[in-house]
This record gives sequence, C-alpha cells and structure tokens, in this order.
Amino acid sequence: MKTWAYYFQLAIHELKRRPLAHVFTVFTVALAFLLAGLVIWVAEGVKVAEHAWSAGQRMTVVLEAGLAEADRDRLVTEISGFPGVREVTKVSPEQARSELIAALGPDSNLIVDVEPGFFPAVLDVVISGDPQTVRSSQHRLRSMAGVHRGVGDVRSMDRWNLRFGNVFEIAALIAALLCGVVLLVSGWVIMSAARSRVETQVDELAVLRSLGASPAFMRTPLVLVSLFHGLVGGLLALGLLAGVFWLGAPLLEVLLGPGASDFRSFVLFTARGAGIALAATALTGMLAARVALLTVRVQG
Amino acid sequence: MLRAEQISKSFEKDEPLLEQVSFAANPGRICVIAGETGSGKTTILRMLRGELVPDAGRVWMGGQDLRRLSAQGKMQLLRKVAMVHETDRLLDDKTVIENVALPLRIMGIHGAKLTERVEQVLARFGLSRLAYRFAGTLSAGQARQTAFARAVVAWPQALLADEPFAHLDRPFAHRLVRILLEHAAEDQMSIVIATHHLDYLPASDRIDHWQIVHTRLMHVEEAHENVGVLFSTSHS
Repeated sequence: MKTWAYYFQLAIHELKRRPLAHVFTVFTVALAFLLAGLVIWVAEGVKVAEHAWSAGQRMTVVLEAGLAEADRDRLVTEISGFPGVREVTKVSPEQARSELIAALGPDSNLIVDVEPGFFPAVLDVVISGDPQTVRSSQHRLRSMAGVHRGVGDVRSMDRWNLRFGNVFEIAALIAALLCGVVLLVSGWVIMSAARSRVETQVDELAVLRSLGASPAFMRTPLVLVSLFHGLVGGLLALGLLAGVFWLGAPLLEVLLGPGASDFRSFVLFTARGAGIALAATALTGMLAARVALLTVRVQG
Repeated sequence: MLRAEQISKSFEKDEPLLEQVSFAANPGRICVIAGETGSGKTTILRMLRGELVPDAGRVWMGGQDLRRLSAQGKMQLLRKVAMVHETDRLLDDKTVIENVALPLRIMGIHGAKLTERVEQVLARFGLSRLAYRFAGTLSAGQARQTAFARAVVAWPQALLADEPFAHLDRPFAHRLVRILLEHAAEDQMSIVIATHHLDYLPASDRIDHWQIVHTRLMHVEEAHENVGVLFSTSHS
C-alpha cells in the first residue's frame, strides 16, 4: 500500500515537474481521440442516414375505380403481410381532395371546382427495414400494377431511394475502414508521445536500474502518468466532440434529418458509451507506456 | 565477501585489458585499486557488479557465482553491491533526502524505519542541514557525499566507488574515507575504491592497496618487488 502511495507521489511529482510537456501530451492524445471520435460520429451519422433514407418509404397503390370496400380491405390485409410493411392506410377520393386543398393552401382555389370523383381511391403504404427488405416489398407491390385485381397503378420514388440506399451502404463501409485507420494512427500518436516522454527520463531510469530497482518500480509511475494522459485526454476529446456536435447541430438536422442532432443519439455521449470510451483511452495510455518502456533502451 | 578469481577481460582481439586478476574485498575493509587511466579499474568494478561478464574466471559474491545469476538475482546483486560512479548520478530534481531514501524505497522500506535510517546516514555524512536542498544545487563535494550516503543507506554488503576523489580536496577526501571506514566496520561492508589519487587516502591498517600493472592486478608490495613501480601513498 505504501509502495503504491509512493508510486502515486512519483507520478504527481513527474506531472508537476514538466507541466507544459504534460499539457502538450494531453492535447496530443485528446486530438488523436477526437479524430477517432469524429470518425465514429461520421460512421454513426451515415448509419442513421442510411436507416432514415431506406426505411419508412411511402408507396401509393392506385385502386381501380368502383372497387368494392370488401376488396379494398382484402388488399390491405394482403399488402400488410409483405415483409417490412409498417402501415397501410386507405385514402378515399374525398380525403385525397381535402388533403390536396390543405397542401395547396392559398392556391387551393385552382382545384376547388374539381369534382371529388376525379381523384382515385388509393392505399398509402409505408415500408421500413433494411434496404433489401424494402426493395423486395417494393418490387412485389410494383408487380401488382395492372395484374392484381383492383390495383390500377403503383407509384413510388423507389429508384432514387434505392440508389441512395446503396450509396449509404458504401459510405458506411468507407467510414468503418476510415475509423480503423484513424484508430491506428491515433494509437501511433499516443505511443509516440509516451515514447518521447520515456526518452526524457532515460537517465533517471538508468539510475534506478543501477540501484537495483525492479521493472515494476521503474514502470509503475510512468504507467500512472500515461493513465492520466489517456484519461484526461479522453475527457477533453469528449468535451471537444460535444462542442463540435453542438456547433454542427443545425447542419446535422439538414443533412441527416430531424432528431439527428439529439445528443443522446450519439453512442459516445451515453453514460455507457462515455465510460467505455474513457476506459479505452486510459488503457491505451497504459499500454503505450508499457510498449515505450520495452522499446526504449535503458543502460544500467 | 566479494571475490574475483582469475578473471580476464579484453574488448579488442589479441589486446587483453586484464589477465588473471584475483583479489578479495573483505568485510570491514577498504580495497583500493590504483592504475593509470585506461588500465581497467572501472572494468574490474563493473565485473564485480555483474555489469560486465569476464572472458575467463569467476566473480563470487558470498558463495554465489555471478555468472549463474537469474534476472531476479542480478537485480538483487545490484542492491547488495552498491556503486558510486565518477559522475555521482544523482536525481537533480529531487532533494538530498529523497535521493538518499531511494534505495530503501526500492527495497520496499517506508515510514518510520526509512526516516530513521536516512536521518542516521545523513547525520554521519554531515548532510542533515542539506536534507531538503535539491541535488542539482549541491557543490561537487556535497554531491559526492550524497552519492555515498545513497550508496550505503540500504546496508549493502559491498560498495564500489569509481574515482571518488575527482574534484575533491585532500582533507575532504580524508574525511569521506574515514566515514566510509566507520560504515564498513559497523555494517560489515566490503569497499572497493578505484582511483589514481592515492595520496588522497588517509593512513589506516584497514586499507589494502592494489595496483594494475600491465594487465595484471598486484598487491602493492608485490608490484614494488616484481616490477619496481614507484608510486607514493600518504601512508607509505
């Protein structure tokens, strides 16, 4: 216990001895983690966008004129059974007319004389889920047009939706790869910072070794300082990330849709996510110090 | 007891630095090794501490052959055989008391026992008033005293000193050696000093003199008889 108290005392002494160097190291570590955090954020954003764009797509099934109510209900039941279909709403010609008038607002007088019977009865279908499910149900719906009894036409914006779905899949893959590269680079930066710090203490380590110090005695204070670098650097990175998130919120809303700027939606801002991230940063710092000690040659 | 048995060392092929060196450093006594610069004094000390492996022969610490030591054993040896280097090697940004306490902390000694021992050693070396001075601010003499205090504080079985009188005046060196003799007697410690400042040593029947002459280590009388090497010491 007393030995550990001494290790902490040595670590604090080291932090006080070269405060600027340690502040610099903490910032370097924080920037490395911030970079990693930003990539994770982008990857998550792409995932959110992918989900938003590929899920909840609306398709309109135009029903043939004079279709009986029982046939409509049968169609609703049938379509509701398609994979990914979340909602099927019957829209009567009267409803379609009034919704159009409401949507046109001041220009609604343009259609005020149009008879209610002009509008077809439709089924509004919302499909959600992964792009493949959405694609498959869209295909099934489209193939019903003019073939299936009561279905006159099927309209959707599926072409560009699907195209975006693919783009997002590719973007998510690129983001994941980028995330790996950035994490490697960040690890290297942290490792270099730990190594340069060990190099400044080579003479001191040599004296300790010459006095018969055990490897643990030489290593522990250094590892504790690195743990501090990792922990404070991680906290700082989370703070900076929160700042970037807050500043970029309006842009996020535009790019990714409503709710994208919600703080709680980002994994690193949840209590569990932040805890795991800080544990990872602290561990990275400790590992960096151990590797640095293995790679720096200390004469006895 | 620290003992060298027929040890040889060369750093370049066909140019032996030391050949068949044998001697023993007995507890309570100081063994002085003299020789010209580059004659191999420091090499002997490094072999006695296990930092260099002799090309031939053996070094014994107590009943233990240094060549057979494990990594843990070598670490323990460095604690048992303390060394004062020519350059002191103090930690400049630590105080005198922190420097002196370091070997005890390495051994896991803390608290009252540590304080008591450090205060005792500081008092013996006349360093009590400098206890809270940073090592980097000490004079050459004070730094040398601190280095010796640090070396003896953890009750080593042997103490090796490489050119300990460099940058010191003679009265200071005499006083230092007397303190070391006190420690040697009290802790039954063997002391080996490598120096060419033989006149800096006080007269004492507890000091043995050895001389390196052409790769060989000889007792001083032997050196006089066999080679006729002339050198003066303050007690001879």
